[in-house]
This record gives sequence, C-alpha cells and structure tokens, in this order.
Amino acid sequence: MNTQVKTAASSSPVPDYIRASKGIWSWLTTTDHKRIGLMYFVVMISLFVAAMGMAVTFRLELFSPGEQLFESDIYNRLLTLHGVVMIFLFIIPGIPAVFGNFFLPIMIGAKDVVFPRLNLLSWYCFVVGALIALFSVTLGGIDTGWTFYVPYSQKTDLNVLVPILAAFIIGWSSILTGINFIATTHRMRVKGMGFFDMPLFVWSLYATGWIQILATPVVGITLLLLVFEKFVGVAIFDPAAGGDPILFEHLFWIYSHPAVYVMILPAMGVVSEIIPTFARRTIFGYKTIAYSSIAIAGIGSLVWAHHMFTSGMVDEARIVFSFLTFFVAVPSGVKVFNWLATLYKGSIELRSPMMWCLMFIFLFSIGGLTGLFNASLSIDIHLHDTSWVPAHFHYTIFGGAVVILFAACHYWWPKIFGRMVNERIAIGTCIGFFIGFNLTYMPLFFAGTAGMPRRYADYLPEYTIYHRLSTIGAVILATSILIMIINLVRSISKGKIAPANPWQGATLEWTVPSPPPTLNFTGEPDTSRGAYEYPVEVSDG
Amino acid sequence: MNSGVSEIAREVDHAFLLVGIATGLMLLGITVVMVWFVIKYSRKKSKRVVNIEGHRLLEITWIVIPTIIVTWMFFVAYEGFGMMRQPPDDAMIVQVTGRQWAWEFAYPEEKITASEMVVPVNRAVKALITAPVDDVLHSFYLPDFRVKEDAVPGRETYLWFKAEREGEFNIFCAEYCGKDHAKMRSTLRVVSNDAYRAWVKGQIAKRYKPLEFSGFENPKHPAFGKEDLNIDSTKLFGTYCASCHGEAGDGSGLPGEARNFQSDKDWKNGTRVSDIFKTLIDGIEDTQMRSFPNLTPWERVALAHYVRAFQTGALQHDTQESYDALIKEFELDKITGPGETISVERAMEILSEEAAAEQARDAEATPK
Ligand code: HEC
Ligand code: HEM
Ligand SMILES: [Cu+2]
Ligand SMILES: [Cu+2]
Repeated sequence: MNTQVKTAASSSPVPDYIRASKGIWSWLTTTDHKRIGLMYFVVMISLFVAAMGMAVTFRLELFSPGEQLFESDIYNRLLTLHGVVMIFLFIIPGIPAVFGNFFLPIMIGAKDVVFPRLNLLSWYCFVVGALIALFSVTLGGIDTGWTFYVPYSQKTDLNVLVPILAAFIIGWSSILTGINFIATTHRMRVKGMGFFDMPLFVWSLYATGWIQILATPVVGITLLLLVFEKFVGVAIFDPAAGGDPILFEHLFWIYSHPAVYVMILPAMGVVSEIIPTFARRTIFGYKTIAYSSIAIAGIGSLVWAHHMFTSGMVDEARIVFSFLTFFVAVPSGVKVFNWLATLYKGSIELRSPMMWCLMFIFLFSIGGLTGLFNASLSIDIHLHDTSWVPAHFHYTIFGGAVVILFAACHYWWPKIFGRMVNERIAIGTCIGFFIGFNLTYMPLFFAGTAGMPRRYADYLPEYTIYHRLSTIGAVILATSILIMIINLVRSISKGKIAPANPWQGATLEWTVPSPPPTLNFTGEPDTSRGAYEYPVEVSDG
Repeated sequence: MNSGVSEIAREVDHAFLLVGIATGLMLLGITVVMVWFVIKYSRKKSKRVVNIEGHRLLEITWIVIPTIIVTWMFFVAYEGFGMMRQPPDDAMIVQVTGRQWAWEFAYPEEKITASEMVVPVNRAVKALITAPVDDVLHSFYLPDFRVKEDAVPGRETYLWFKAEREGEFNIFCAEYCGKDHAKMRSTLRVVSNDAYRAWVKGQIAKRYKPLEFSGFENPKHPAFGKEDLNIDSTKLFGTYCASCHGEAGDGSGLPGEARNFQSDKDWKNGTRVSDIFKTLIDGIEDTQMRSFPNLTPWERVALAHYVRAFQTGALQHDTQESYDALIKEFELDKITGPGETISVERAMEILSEEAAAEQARDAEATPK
C-alpha cells in the first residue's frame, strides 16, 4: 500500500506545498496557510523547549530547602519567564495557530483562509510581540510572575507597560487569526457542507475565534489605562495616588480566564477528531459536543473573579463567582462522557496519537476535578496561591492543551511532512511523559494542602519530600519530551513515506496527498463521506 | 498537618473531604470505564463497530446529574465561607501589616507591636490586614487555620480564627511580593491566657519603663553593670564589634586600623562612658567605625563598660558635667525603655497620663 501511494505522490503533477518554492524568503512572504502554520510551529516549539529548560532549572534549585544554585532574584525571574513564555508565546497561539491554520481550510474543503495576507500579518504580529516580551522580561528584569499584578509590577525597573504592550501586540495576532477563522468558517465551506457537517475541530476553532475577538480588547483597555496613569497622572491602579490595585486584577483575569479556554477548546476539538479515527466509529453526540464548546466559551467569560477569592473583593462577589464557576465544569464533563461513549462498541487501535488522547482524558479529568476544589469558596481560601494551584493548572493546560498538541503532532505529522513517525519510540516517550508528569505535579497537590505557598524560591524543611519528588519528575518529564521532539524531527528525513490516509480517517484532509499541494485539493473536494462516517466492518489491522 | 486546630479548619477539612470523595469517585469512574472500553473493544477483539450517533436520555442524564452534584458542592463549601466571614463581636483585634518583607502585629488595646503574633488560646481573634500605601500586595496566610486574606496597600481586609490548641504555627505570605517573598514568614504563638497576659506585660513594660539616669553620678554605679541591665554584652560585642576589634578587644580584626581597646593610645573621642556612648551614636567620620543607630541606649552603655574593661592603661572618668552634657545632647531623659518589669496597671496609668498630657498640649495649641 505504501509503495502504491508513493508512486501516486511522486507522479502527481502538482508539487506539494513544501517543495512548491524554495528559499527562506519564499517562506517569510508566503500566504499559504500551511506554511504559516509551520512557521508558527517552529517559533513556538523552540520557545517551549527554552521555557521547559527554565522550569527544570528552577526545579533543581527547589530540590533542597535553602539556596543552592542561585538566589531568589534569579528564581523569580526564571519563574516569570517560564510562565510568560509558556502562556503568551506558546499555548495561547497554540493549537489554532499551528494546526488550525494548517487544517481548518482543508477540513472544510477550502483552498486557503479568507484573508491569507492578514494571516501572514498575524504571524509577524506574533513574532514582534514575542520579541518585545522576551526583551522586557530578560533585559527589563521583570520578576512579577506571569500575572503582572500592580503595584509591584509598576515598581519594577521597566514599568509593567512594556510586557502589557507585548501582550497587546500578541493579542492583535490572536484577534486577526480569530477573525480569519470565523470568516473562513462562514464563507469558505465547500458546497454542501452545513455547520453541522463540519468536523468538531472546526467547531472548536470557531468558538475559540469568538473568545479571542471578545476578550483580547481588554488587554488593550488595560494598556490604555496604564498609559493614562503613567503619562497623564490619573490615579487608576496605584494605591499611593489613590488608585485601586484590585481593578487591575479584574482586568487581568477578564482577559486571562477566557484565555484558558482559548487554550483548551481547540484541544478538545482535536480529541473529537482523533478518538473516532482510532475507534473507527462515529462520534457520540456530535451536537452536544459542538454546543458544549459554545457553552464553555459563554459561561467561561463570566467567571474570571474566581482567581480573586482572597483578594479583598466584597463577599457577595465571591459568592456569585464561585456559583458561576461550578457550571463551567458541566460542559467540559459532558465532553468527557461523550468521548468515553465514542469508545463504546468501537474498534480501538492504540497508536501513539490515541495514547496521547487517552492520557489527556485522565490528566485533564484530574485537572478539571481539582478545579472544583478551587471553585469551592471555603476550600479555595485555603488552597489559593499554594502549590495546589500550579499543580491544578499544569494538569489542565499542560496535561490538557499541551498533551493534545503533542497528540496532534503525532496524528497529523504524516500529513504535514509526508513521513511516518517511529511508533515504538513515540509510545515509549508517551509513557515516560506520563510517569514524569504525575511525579512532577501530583506531589504539589499534597504540598499545597499542607500549606506550601506558590512562587517560593525557598521553603521550610517540612516540605522537602514533595519538592524532591517533583524535581525528579521534572527531569524525567523533560527528558521524555526532548526524545519525543527528536523522534518527530528525525522522521522528517528518516521516516517511512506516509500514505495519504495512514489512519483511515474520515475528514477531508485525509483525501488529499501527503504532504498536500499548495492549493490543497487537486480536483473538487470529495464530500461524499461524512466527517464521522465509518464502515461497520473493520477491514484492516 | 495540624487538623482541627479551629472550628473553621475542621469545617474546611470536612468540605475538602466531601468534595474529595465526590471527585475521586468521578475520576475512578471515568478511568475505569475508559480502560474497560479500550480493552473490551480493542481492534483485536472487535472487528465490527456500531455507529451510535447519540442517545438523548443518556446525554440529558449526564448533563443533569453533574449539574446537581456541583450545585451541592457549592453549598458544601459555602457553609465554611459563611463562618469565615462572620467574626464574633467580642473578637480580640490584631492589626496585621505586611510590608516588603516582614509582618508586623499591632495590638491596639494594649498599644504594643511585635514581629510575631501571640494570642491566647480559645479566644476569637480578628486580624485587620493592610499594607502601607507605597508597598505592594501580600497575603496573610495561616495554613493550619485554613484562612488567608490579601494585604492590599491602603485598604483594610480581615480574617478571623479561634485557636483551640496551644502551639506554634506558620505564618506565610501567599501573594507574590518580590525578591524575598519566600522569606516573608512569621510565627503565630498560641499560648495560655496567663502566658498571654505575661507576654503583654513584658511588651508594655519594655515600652513604658522610664529610664533613670541617677546612676551616671557614679561611673561605677552597678545600674550600668551588665547584670543589672540584663543585657548580654559579650554576645552584643561578639555580634557587632568583634569582627573588627577582635574578641580580645585588641583590634586584631582590622589590624592597624580598628582601635586597640587594651591600649590607651590613639583614642579620638576618649575612653569615658559618655565618650564611647557618643562614638557609638556618631561613628568616626571617614573610617570604618560606623554608627550603630540600631542599638538602644542601654546596649550602648553596656558596651561602653564592656570596652572599658579591656583597658590595661589609664582610664578617663566622667564628671557630672560630662554626664549632663551627654544627657542634654541626646535627650536621654526623655527616652523610655527596658528596666525591671513594672505592673500592667502601672503601665496603663502611664499611658493615660501620656494621653492626658497630649490632650492638654493639643488644647493649648488650638487657638480659641
Ligand atoms: C567595620 C569595622 C568595625 C566595627 C564592626 C566596629 N568598629 Fe569600632 N572602630 C573601627 C575602626 C577602624 C576604629 C578606628 C577609627 C579611627 O581611625 O579613628 C574604631 C574605633 C572604635 C573606638 C574608639 C573611638 C575613639 O575614641 O577613638 C571605639 C570605642 C569603638 N571603635 C567601639 C566599637 C564598638 C563598641 C563596636 C561594636 C558595636 C565597634 N567599634 C565596631 C572599626 C570597627
Ligand atoms: C517540563 C515542563 C514543566 C515543568 C517542570 C514546570 C514546572 C513548573 C513549576 C514547578 C511551577 C511553579 C513554580 C512556583 O510556583 O514556584 C510552574 C509555574 C508555571 N508554569 Fe510550568 N512547568 C512546565 C511546563 C509548563 C507548561 C507546558 C506550561 C503552559 C503551557 C506552564 C505554565 C506555567 C505557568 C503559567 C506557571 C506560573 C508562573 C507564575 O507563577 O508566574 N508550565 N511550572
Ligand atoms: Cu480562571
Ligand atoms: Cu509575599
């Protein structure tokens, strides 16, 4: 079968998108959504590896109480850089920027996004914003943590203005991508594909697009207020001048909580693609899953102040926000149940993308369920700002969004590069990741309940055991990820040639050659098969 | 973990347990179903699939049931929150101020401040929390009592607790506040009622015992011997001075530079108690001998005697005039400080006298 496709691909009259033109310039000026997706990937994954290195470094410092490798100044900066890079430069662009760009048009049978040049502009916005962010944190000595709370952040060498400016420029990139995806979904669907015929990944990108457009302007408002305060002298945030620092917390979370869903919704979309493919059956509850994306986007915009239960905000607000927060858990739970039901009476093959997905269900469930403790008012008063919180959000963001980004890499790599990934190494790194991950973050839950505050460069000896385990876990975790990346990269030149549809998937991207030609489809997109239509008899394997 | 050290802590732990059991069961359910399906419907065993597109009743069930469960959780946790936000009216007040990077505890009724928090057992304590307007956010966290609340510059927030057991408990800063955030710790000491009274007495006495200077009349007066002052001069000297002047006072820490106290040569200010006192306040300009403003007057006097004791040559002695000049220059007669303990009653008297005097002054200053 492989050989058959090989000849088909090489005798194809249209060159694929990688070989269509040559030279770095042809990439930097490209408007091809697939190339732009890859360019995002290269920037993001390099930053991810750097930020992972920082995390391992500060985890090593935490191996024992006291100062071993460096002092608290360095710790605080590394931690801030780690958080800022991971959140703003890696996982907020995340899956939409890479896999959304690459696959959204193909999945709906389009040649490109509606505004290809805007798409390229959004990549440049991202790169410029990233450079400013890196500059402000490394050279500007920002050590505020990724939340930039005033008044501390206003006292740093470089006023908080600069990192917020960076967030704003990156935000522009998000808005442009969001607009592009929404317009593309509305205008570019192939004839005959209605909204409820779209793959669920497209649905999730659509919901994400709306969050990006509605939430990101808040960053701009915050920036404007900071500028007013600094240059016009109006008291807004600075308590010494009569301002209110809690207002900043509100503004920060009005943007950053929905941003959490910008990270996770597309990941949920990918899961809804991978599970049916490897269970070889239709998705269970298509509409429920599609509507829960919208519900998460909606309710998720109304819960931001659950990050502020101890901030000094009035009690009534704490009660309302706690109440609302519980209900975001419901649509996420519903999705998990639907995925499980999709396994029922399927024919399940445990290939690496599927392994990552099943691991996601487990880790993300832990992340989501521990979130219920944080939503619980009295419990959160105890757990807030302890290491419980980093544990919880790594389980959701890392165990959720990032794990699925890795799943998507293994799932779509053959399509993107036309080569298969070494499956044994892939599964090995997946297992190594699982062990390292739980060892890194599980102890932090226990340390948190025992009262260990977060962002502590040093700790009392009674917390040593948790920190030891966590540091050992981090080393295992980072090693597995590095091997995984090497395995992926190596396959680009060394892997077996991939057929057009290695997993027998049903969505449109599997009907085009691997890698696809510049205009995606050689003829008319073949829409005869539904996105989740699978034969009852499983023929191969 | 000291569980059950207060009613609130028990309530929080109870809610934690309930939520823990509920979420634990859910996680278990999800994992078991997942593993079971993956094994049961593996490709090897299952060659035919059933394309079930959905099941309305089932889906409604798993929307409704989780909704009920999370609503229940809200009320479970709300209970404890209600307790946390309603301090009893008779709660004792402690003002907690967070600043980079230390906690300060003020007891408004007793007019004392301390860097550790001491409270009597079985007494409700309401902490009024704040930070100076030019400082940053902090968070006052008592992990064993399961309570925390941010210290916001220029605002007052609160929390309360009632310790049911004596002991020492951690106080952490839980809101990131810069470089030494991790070191912004203190201790909560919960003590018996009597011990608490004694501690308060000690604190008040420290603050309000007026200094008696009669001892200056006779330089050898025992009032300035280290025993009577209850100051460990050996330790003080070891901490602050020995690095330059050497343990033996011979100047061996900075040879050729730091004064050799055994010799009577080269003294600039002189070897009288009042001279050394002055040296310790002013330092000696353009030399390594800095001033020590952190020392109390009694510590200075004690150190002066300690330094003089090294002397093998001739010592100079104070006169009435030199004392008077010193007292006048540094207004020593106006300073109050530690001496032997006085009764709380006496301290209260002094307090009200002070307040009355203040009022009288204010009344005079206000033109009719
Ligand atoms: C950093 C080093 C240093 C430390 C610490 C230090 N000294 Fe000195 N001290 C000096 C030096 C140097 C001189 C000589 C200054 C000069 O050249 O006049 C001196 C001089 C003195 C003199 C002589 C003053 C005079 O009349 O000439 C006295 C008394 C004295 N120190 C007491 C103390 C005491 C008490 C302490 C501890 C509280 C102390 N010093 C701590 C460096 C130090
Ligand atoms: C090898 C991988 C990683 C390790 C070992 C790691 C470890 C940690 C630890 C221990 C902390 C808490 C430190 C403290 O509170 O003192 C932390 C903070 C954080 N991590 Fe990670 N992490 C990793 C990957 C990620 C990823 C993938 C993301 C997001 C996509 C992420 C986002 C964050 C954020 C936002 C913070 C908070 C920073 C702050 O407090 O300002 N991390 N990380
Ligand atoms: Cu949130
Ligand atoms: Cu702090």
